[in-house]
Amino acid sequence: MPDWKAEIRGRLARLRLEATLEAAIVEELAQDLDDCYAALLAGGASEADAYQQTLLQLQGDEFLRRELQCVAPRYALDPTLLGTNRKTNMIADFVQDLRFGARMLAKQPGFTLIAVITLALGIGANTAIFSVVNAVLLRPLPFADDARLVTIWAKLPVAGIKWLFTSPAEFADYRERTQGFAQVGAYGGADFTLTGRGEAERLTGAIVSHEMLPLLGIKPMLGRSFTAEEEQEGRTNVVVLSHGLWQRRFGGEAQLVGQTILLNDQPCTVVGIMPPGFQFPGTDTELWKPLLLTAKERAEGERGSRWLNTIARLKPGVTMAQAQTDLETLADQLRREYPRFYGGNTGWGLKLVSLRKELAGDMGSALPLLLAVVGCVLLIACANVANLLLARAATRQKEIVVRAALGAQRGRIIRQLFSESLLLAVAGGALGIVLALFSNTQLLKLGPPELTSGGPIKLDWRVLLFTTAVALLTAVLFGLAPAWQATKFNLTETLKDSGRNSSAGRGRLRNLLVVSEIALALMLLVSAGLVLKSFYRLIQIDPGFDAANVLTMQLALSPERYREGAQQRAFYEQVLRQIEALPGVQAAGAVHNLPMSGSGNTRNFSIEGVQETRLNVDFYQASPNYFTAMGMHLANGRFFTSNDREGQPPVAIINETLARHYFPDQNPLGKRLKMGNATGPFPWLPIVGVVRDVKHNGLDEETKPALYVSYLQSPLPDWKYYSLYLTVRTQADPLAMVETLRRTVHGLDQNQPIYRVATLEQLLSRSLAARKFSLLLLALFAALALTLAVIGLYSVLAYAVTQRRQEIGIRLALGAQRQDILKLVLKEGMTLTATGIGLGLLASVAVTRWLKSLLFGVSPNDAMTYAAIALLLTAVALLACWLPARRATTVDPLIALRQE
Amino acid sequence: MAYVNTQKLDRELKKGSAELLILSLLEARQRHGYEIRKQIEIRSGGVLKFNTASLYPLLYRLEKRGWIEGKWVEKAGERRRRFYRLTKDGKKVLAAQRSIWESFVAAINRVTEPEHA
Repeated sequence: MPDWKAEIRGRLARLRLEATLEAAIVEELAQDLDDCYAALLAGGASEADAYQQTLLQLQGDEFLRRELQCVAPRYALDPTLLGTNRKTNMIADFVQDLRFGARMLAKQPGFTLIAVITLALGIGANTAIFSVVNAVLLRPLPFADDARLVTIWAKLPVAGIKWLFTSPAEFADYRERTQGFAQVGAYGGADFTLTGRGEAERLTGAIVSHEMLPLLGIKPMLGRSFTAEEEQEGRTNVVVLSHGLWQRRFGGEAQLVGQTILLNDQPCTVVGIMPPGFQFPGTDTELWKPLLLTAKERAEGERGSRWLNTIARLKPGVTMAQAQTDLETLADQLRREYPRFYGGNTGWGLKLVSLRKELAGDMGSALPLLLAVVGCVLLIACANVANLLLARAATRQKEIVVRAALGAQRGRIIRQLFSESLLLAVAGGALGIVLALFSNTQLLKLGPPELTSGGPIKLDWRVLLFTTAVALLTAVLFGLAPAWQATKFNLTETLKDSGRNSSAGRGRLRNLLVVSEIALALMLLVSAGLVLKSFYRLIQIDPGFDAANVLTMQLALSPERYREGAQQRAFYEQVLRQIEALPGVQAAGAVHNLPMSGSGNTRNFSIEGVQETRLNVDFYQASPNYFTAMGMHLANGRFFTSNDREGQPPVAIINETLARHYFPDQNPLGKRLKMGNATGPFPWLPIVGVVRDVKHNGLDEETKPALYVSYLQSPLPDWKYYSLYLTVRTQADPLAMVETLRRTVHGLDQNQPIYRVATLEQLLSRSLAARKFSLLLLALFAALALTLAVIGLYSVLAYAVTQRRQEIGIRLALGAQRQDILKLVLKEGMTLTATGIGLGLLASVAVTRWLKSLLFGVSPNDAMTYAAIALLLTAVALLACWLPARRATTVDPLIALRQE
Repeated sequence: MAYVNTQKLDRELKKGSAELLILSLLEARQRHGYEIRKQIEIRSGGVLKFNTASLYPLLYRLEKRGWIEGKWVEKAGERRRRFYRLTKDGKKVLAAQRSIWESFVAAINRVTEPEHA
């Protein structure tokens, strides 16, 4: 085929058209002539004839020139360049880019695998934590319009109490004297023994005001919930059952509604069945009974008997802030009306907390932090992959330069490189979801129960959306900079130099990435270190009892069959005596308020000779051997004996904190205390003993003043020992004793279930569960961060060593010692490390104060931790540098120099 | 009977007939330059012919006016080609030119048809 282009170009030469425009016109006309020539040949013309005739097509070219002259200046044929088609077909281009990218990635499976796994670890960690955040903090609670549900709490700063329950009398005030709420409801936990149908069983239930179930917006599946009348004396013998209990114990018979069952030996009419999945307040709650709210419960003297949780639904249009103001007005009124309870400098006040936040518990504050932590891990992963891409771009420099030389614009090449990043990110995201699915099931086994308070943790659309967004963001983070760098070159220079310049800028970028990786990793390690140290500090704390080899369980007597206090005491005494007689039992005690069990009972008391009522002591009614069974220590005086019983003068034991607070520099023994106010009806109790402090709710809490009385001589005349905790100290594994103990109790009364059986060690570790979980995750992610950062450091140095083989070869040839080379590489690596550590330390000082809620007894700027972590990181980094440094010393100068 | 402005008629007759041919051919589908050339030749039974040097300037002019639009199209296994298609404006122009042309032809016919007594 003749070359028409030269012919055409010759005729257009005088026009001096813009190069791309001329190229396009020449191409188009040449094609036309090609077609023409081919048609003539096909028509039987000789090549010479065809050529001559085709040339005739260009006759009259002055018209062509004239037209072009007036067309060209203002009009450019779309200046499409080779390999680009931007204006016309973006999507097709993108698909093509992806296909090409996939081929390029498949060519280097090692690189691709490492990049995808790195990203999957980062994205997976984020997905896993986000799915927990989603379940605990974001997903709606299974109640109607849950955003309007709030809880009402009181606080009592003078006693160091941030969360004070509500008394029935206070609840009545909230309900009747506030305007901001559509409904106010209250509930308290209560357990019931179900008898009469099969084996006696202890059930976890709740006592609820009649508003409680409607307020949550959940209707019973069968029957109804409670009426206001059922809060009255003698009317509370009705019950609503959970779907689970109904199925499990009653075979799901529909006629059960309206029938009577025996709870605590009292007949109760089943009025309703809740729908499946309704869990409130706890996941184990199986029945609901009405709250008794009579004039007696509302009497002034009962204001301090606080055991209810209060939940309210905001009126439509009322904000949290408005409702809070409303509550404060009420609080002011109460302070004036009952100065004895709320007045003075107690600091008593009311506060609103959203139900969602309340249910999230400790994890609520730890989770955003963990999200930030996994965010850092992801950043490190991104930096690593970006480094890999930079190294790879260097080997692809030729390809890129050739593409640019053929006319590809920079944006087009960046898009091509970026589509590869996108592929990596999407693959990493997919693998990350798999990792998250797997790890979530493992996580939940270790996590505290609050994790599932909002329902099970699932991968729903929110999580998938999050992961997709993270994956895309990741692609931008790790993909754009290397693509930008890779296309930053001077075309002619680079072509001449066969693509070896511009590596200086790339090296700087790689170093920057490694330094930030190290800084981030150090930050996470410092955080983990601080939390670890806190945890260590925490478990070093003496709980005040010896948790080893103690079995605890609850035992509740039927108020029907054990009506009198004397009957109850007799039963417990007998049970304890028989248990202590069992082989393998060292001591057996009973208490109504067991540390670490989640139970709590606080009372007010007065000191003889002092007018003011003292608020909020932890109150315990204990058996004589309770102290021994718990392994508690006596500081002064004596424990209770079996002679401290009814008919004998009542006595009291206090803890060291109470002694320190109220009897400073005095011997408290013999001093007298009284429950309630000084003029109240209770007897004065002389102090006979002082015991060491016991942590009641958790190791991290401040010990409160505590008051112990003998359960055989309770100062509270109306106290009924419906339910006590048994504490049994055994010689060997306490759990092995469970059956024997159960048989012993059943030997005395067949209808007495024992329940909530746990060792004291289990209770103690449960109280640490949320902290342990946070620590575990933090340590895990910090370790991951360290690994990734060290890999990053290693790969940068290893790459630098290969890049500098020639230089190293020259140095060796000129007489450098292997030692010098080793030093050279180590110095480079350690400079990066030191810079990273320096920046990381600064950053840590800035950010670790956010950790405060997870710390205990450790300052966020604990110098020891910072030093230890910096040292650890240096040691690991040294190892990562040493490997490439060693390799550098093995460079053979002859081979290195010959390579070019 | 439609009235035809004689001055306009004169101008359109000279410049417009070639444009009308191109616009008409692009009405049904997009074509590349060589195809347009061939179609004019075939459909006119070889009476009307454009050579390369005269067709393409017309195409560029029409494109500059925004009546047609040229686009490089790549097809697998072929050289890329510049295809032209009619734009919205081009369609309007085509309709107008067509009616002018029809009036013109009708007028010519009326004048040139043999007189029967």
